[in-house]
Amino acid sequence: MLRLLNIVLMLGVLVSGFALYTLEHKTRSVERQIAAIDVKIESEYEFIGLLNAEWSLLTRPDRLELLAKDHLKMGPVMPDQLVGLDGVAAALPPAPVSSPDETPANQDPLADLLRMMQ
Amino acid sequence: MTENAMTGTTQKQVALRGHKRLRLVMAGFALGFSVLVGKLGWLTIIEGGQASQTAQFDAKVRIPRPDITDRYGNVLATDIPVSSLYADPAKMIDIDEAVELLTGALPELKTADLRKKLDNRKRRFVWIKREVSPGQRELIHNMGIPGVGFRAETRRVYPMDRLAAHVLGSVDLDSHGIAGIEKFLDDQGALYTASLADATRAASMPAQTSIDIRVQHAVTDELRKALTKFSAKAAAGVVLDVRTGEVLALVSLPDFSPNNPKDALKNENVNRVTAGVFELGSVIKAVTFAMALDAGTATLKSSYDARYPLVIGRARINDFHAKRRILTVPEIFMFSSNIGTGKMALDVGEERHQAFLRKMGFFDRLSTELPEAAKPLLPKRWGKLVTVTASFGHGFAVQPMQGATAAAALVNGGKLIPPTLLRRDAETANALAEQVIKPSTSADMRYLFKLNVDEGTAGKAGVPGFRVGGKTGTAEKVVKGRYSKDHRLNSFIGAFPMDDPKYAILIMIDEPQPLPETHGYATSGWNAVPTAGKVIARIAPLLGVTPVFDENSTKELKKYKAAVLKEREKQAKLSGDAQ
Repeated sequence: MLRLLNIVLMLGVLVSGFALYTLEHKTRSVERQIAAIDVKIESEYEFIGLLNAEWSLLTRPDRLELLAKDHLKMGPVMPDQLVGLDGVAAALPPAPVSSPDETPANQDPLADLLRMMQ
Repeated sequence: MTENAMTGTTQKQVALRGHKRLRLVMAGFALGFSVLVGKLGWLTIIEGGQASQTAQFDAKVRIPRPDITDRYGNVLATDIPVSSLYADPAKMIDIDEAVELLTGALPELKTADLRKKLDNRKRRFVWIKREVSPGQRELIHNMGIPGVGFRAETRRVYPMDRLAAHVLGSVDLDSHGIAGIEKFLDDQGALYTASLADATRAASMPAQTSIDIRVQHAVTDELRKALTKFSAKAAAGVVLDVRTGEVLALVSLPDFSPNNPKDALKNENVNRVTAGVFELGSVIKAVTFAMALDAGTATLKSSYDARYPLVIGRARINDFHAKRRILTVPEIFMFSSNIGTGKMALDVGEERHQAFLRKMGFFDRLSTELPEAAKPLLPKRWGKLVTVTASFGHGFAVQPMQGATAAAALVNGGKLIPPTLLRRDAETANALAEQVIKPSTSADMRYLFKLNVDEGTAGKAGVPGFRVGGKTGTAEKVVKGRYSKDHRLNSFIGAFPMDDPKYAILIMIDEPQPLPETHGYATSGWNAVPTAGKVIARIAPLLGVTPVFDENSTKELKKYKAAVLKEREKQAKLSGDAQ
């Protein structure tokens, strides 16, 4: 009886030892993973910071002004170009004369494009 | 175990006794282990689930410097990671070779300096170069020089460069603030900085300033143009939100690039808005008017005799735009009459005048978040003459920011709100506000300001539709102990839209020169005022001020548009010629 108990306990020690070892091994590897991901996250944050800085560098008002001057045919807003909400209806341009339904079939730009591609 | 068993001597008895003892020990161990197992099971299975949720990895102790952004989150200052090159001379094998390789990779290093640094074998650490570019880092890394290594550091960069330089300030090589908001983050604002820290990751929330980069840029751009056009020495400008005291733009020229910290502390680059004090001149008349109207010694309908110079002791006070007649209060304001203003101040009395100026904060050092804050220069004794000169802004010098703050208080219903460079909501502002004049007086002041732009000396500040109001100031500067006729400090304070003021503006130009197109004049109406007008024309649409037109302003609009288009054509031609 005692011998049986000893064997059972012995086995128990072996099994629990093995289980413990595997568990620890797993934990270690998860820890390593976490550390690696932490490093990755940190570098992502750093990268985001860099991109933000670059965005800020590219959207400098003086740079935008220069670009607008070179590439757009627009100038600073004149006071009469601003309209309050109540004045919007009066400031709308006249409605277009022709509606798409009235365009003749031979003037269908999409069809022209398709014909050209063929 | 009985007495009999213990005293028994037979083998069987002994074996039996041993057996019993063994059982007892086993039972004891079993009990002990089951307690352990039970406790272990309790901790790992039942409580374990909760424990794992609260488990945290150690946060790094050092919290990085917060980014600085404008009021809409545009980055003005941030940290970027860089590597710095160091050497451990004790570990170096061949110094000659190392010096040769390093100077080859980093041409800006001087051979003699580097050799001197590395020759001291006792030292264990010397910086060779801070902030090495990634390319150079790779190159040096691949050389594999023993005793040479890299350290990860952060470098403060200011992507917008010169924009808002005086607000941001600068940091030294070790990321300690040396000026501006950067210094605030380290010194007085340390508590605020700590509150930005984000413990879940080693980072900080950005410090959000009240600056609006669009407004800041518009003010800077127009001031820079004015600076060259009038060959002036310096220029400064402030835009304030009159309801919260937030500074939307703070410009002082000449400025510096915060990316080059050495320039931040140069004398000529001082922040003229807060770190310098100036005699603001006639713009202070607005304060005198508010005082007289609030005290009730004058109303908009009273009039004062401005026919003869005001004589006090041996001093004679005269007018620049002398009219030599009896002027009503609005006329005194429009013609900027020193005689009239002086008499108004005398009516209020020396004591009350001083008390009012103190209430407006002119006697104390105004401190915002910026560490650069100058103390006002005040006259030592306060007599009748000082009262008169102070009534039109001479004889005492304050920060231009104080002038702007006062202007905001005069038009916003009489609430003096300490200005701030950090974001603030209306509630906090209201809690800080101090009622300095009656709301009705403030309404009178708005009328005077508006009148002065519509019909008076500040006409060129007007933008049709935006209901601008303001007061001009031309102060003669003290040169070698005397007021000089040729050295002027010109200013404009104003606000818009005048029916419900939202923004106050101060423009200051130091020593502008007369031009042919200003007919040889160099007074404020010819330089500071039109500059303010251009600034307002640019920022009012950005700030969401809706223009309102009546008959008068529609007529002006045509004239205004023609003038602006002509100017634009001229500019386009100029830039076309330059190309």
